[in-house]
This record gives sequence, structure tokens and C-alpha cells, in this order.
Amino acid sequence: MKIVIVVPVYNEEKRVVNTVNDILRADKSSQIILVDDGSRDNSYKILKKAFGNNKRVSILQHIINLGKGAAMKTGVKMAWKLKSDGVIFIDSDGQHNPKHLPEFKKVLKKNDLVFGYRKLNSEMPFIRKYGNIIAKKIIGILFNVKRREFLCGYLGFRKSVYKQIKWRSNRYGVETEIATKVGRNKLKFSEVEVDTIYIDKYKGVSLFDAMKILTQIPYWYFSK
Amino acid sequence: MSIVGVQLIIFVFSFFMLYNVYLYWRKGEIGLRGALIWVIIWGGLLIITFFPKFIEPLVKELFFVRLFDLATVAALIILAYVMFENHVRINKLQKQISKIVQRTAVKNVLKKVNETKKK
Repeated sequence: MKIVIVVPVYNEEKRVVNTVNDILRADKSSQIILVDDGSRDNSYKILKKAFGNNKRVSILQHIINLGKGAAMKTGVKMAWKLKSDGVIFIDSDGQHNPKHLPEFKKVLKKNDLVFGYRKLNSEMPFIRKYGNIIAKKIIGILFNVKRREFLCGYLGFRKSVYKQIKWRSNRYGVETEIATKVGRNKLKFSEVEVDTIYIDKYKGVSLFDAMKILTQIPYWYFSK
Repeated sequence: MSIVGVQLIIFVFSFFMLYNVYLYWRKGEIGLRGALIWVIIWGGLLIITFFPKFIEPLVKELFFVRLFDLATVAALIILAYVMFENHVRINKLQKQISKIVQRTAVKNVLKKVNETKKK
């Protein structure tokens, strides 16, 4: 089973090279697709310089910023072109530890999807922690899906279920939308506990993003 | 005929909008049909403002007390419609732009991969 690692990148010139090197070290065989989502900094140039000649790494660029969800979709499109049977997403800022990749791949062989989950402890930023708790309750009831966490971007799925979980969100909310579709389509999934390092509290999901995600839930509920 | 404040404001604003319509039409940014629709809207507003008696029967027929009430309701309906139209069109544009950007990103890399293979 061929699995490709997809890394959406946006304004991560300081950390992305280390993240990709860590992935290359943790997973010695998989191909890696880096999707620069119209970064305003030098992320794309730096990636080209560092991995332009690496045959395991493909570097794609959005000429304008479309959002994380769109970058993920581009990565998936490229993965299918590379004849992959599945993809695993990992964030580019180094908050997801690539050491879990072999476990993700192992779990994905037996399931349609694999999700990472972080412990809801005091290290987790306030918005994520309570956003997770609220999302867990609402999505659990509306979509009949029991998950330990809904906002973790460390996840993977097989090609065979892509049509059922294909997301519309271009920005934040992708992970939650995927969760709702998993519940709706009764797909088989498993969860893997992952270490998470909260590097930058000003990045990621803001309170405003969290509110937007919540308002989208009824839309996901009523749309097919 | 004495002109009241609200008539003066509507006159100035409608005249400004008609001039805008003319400019956009001359630049070719809106077609003749679009320009005519906007001329009818703003021109109609001007006529109603200065000759309110034209639509007084309609005001009575629809059980509005004042012409101003009818104008407010009509303006809200038009605004809501324009907002909805804009929302749908912006969504469509966003989708089209996303598709183009995503396709270009994949195409560029595949092109390079194929060129490398040929070499």
C-alpha cells in the first residue's frame, strides 16, 4: 500500500525545512508532497533550495493563498497522480511529531481513516481545548461519531474513501468537516495518540475561526 | 414645489450613481443591458422622489401609510437580493479561482517530473 505524506505550508520559512528533514528521517520510504499555499515569506524558495533535487519530495505552489483546506486538496490531487493509495497530512510548523508516521501507516492498512489525537491537558491553548470539548459534544450528537479530538490536523485516509469525505472548507474547519463526513458515512477509523508541541499561540485556530467552524456545523448537517 | 432634505439627498446620490453607471458603461465594464437596468432603478427613484403622486395609488393598494415606508421596504428587498446575488457569484468565483490555482500547481510539478524523465 503506497502512502504519501502531504504537508501544507504557509509562511513557515523558519521551521519548514526542519519539519521536512524530520519527516524524511522518521519515514525512510514514503514520498512527500509539500504544498506552499501562496506564502508571503520565502518558504517556497527555501523549500526549492533545500529539497528541489530530492526525488522523494515534490514541491507544489499555489500562486495565491487559498487556505489550508485547498492546499490539502492540491496535495491529494498530486498524491493520486503519483498513484498513491492513501495520504497522511502533517502540519509544517513542527507541532506534529513525525515519529508517529510508521504507526499511522500501520493503522491505515486496517482502517479507512486514521486520526491523531492530543491529550486535552493544560498545555493545550484555551480556545483549542474548549473548542474541542464543544465540538466533541455537538458533532457526537449530530453525526454520531465518537472521537477523542476533532481539531488535530495530523490525519490520514485511503483513496477509496476520498469521495465520501471530500471537504468544501478551504480554510480552517477541514478537520471538523472530515469528522462529520466520517460519521455520516459510517467509515471505519482509528485514533493514534500524538505528541504535540504548541509552538506559536498566535497561529492556528483563533476564537473567530472556532466560532466560524461552529456556525458551519448546521450547514454540514443539512448538506449532502 | 419646495424640496425637502430627503429629496435633496436622494437627488444628489441618484445623480452621482447615474454618472457612475455612465462611466462604467463607457469603460465597457458593464454592458448596455446592465447599464439600462441601473438607469431605470436610479432614474425611477428620482422620478418617485420628485413626483410622489405617481405611485400614491400603489401605496394605498399595498396598505402602506406613507410613501417613505414603501420606499424603505422596497430598498431592503433590493438590498437583500443584491447581497444574495453577490454571495452566489463570489462563491462561484472563489471556486473557479481555487480550481485554476490547484490545477496549475499540480500541472507545473508534473511537467517538471516528465521533463526529468525524458532527460
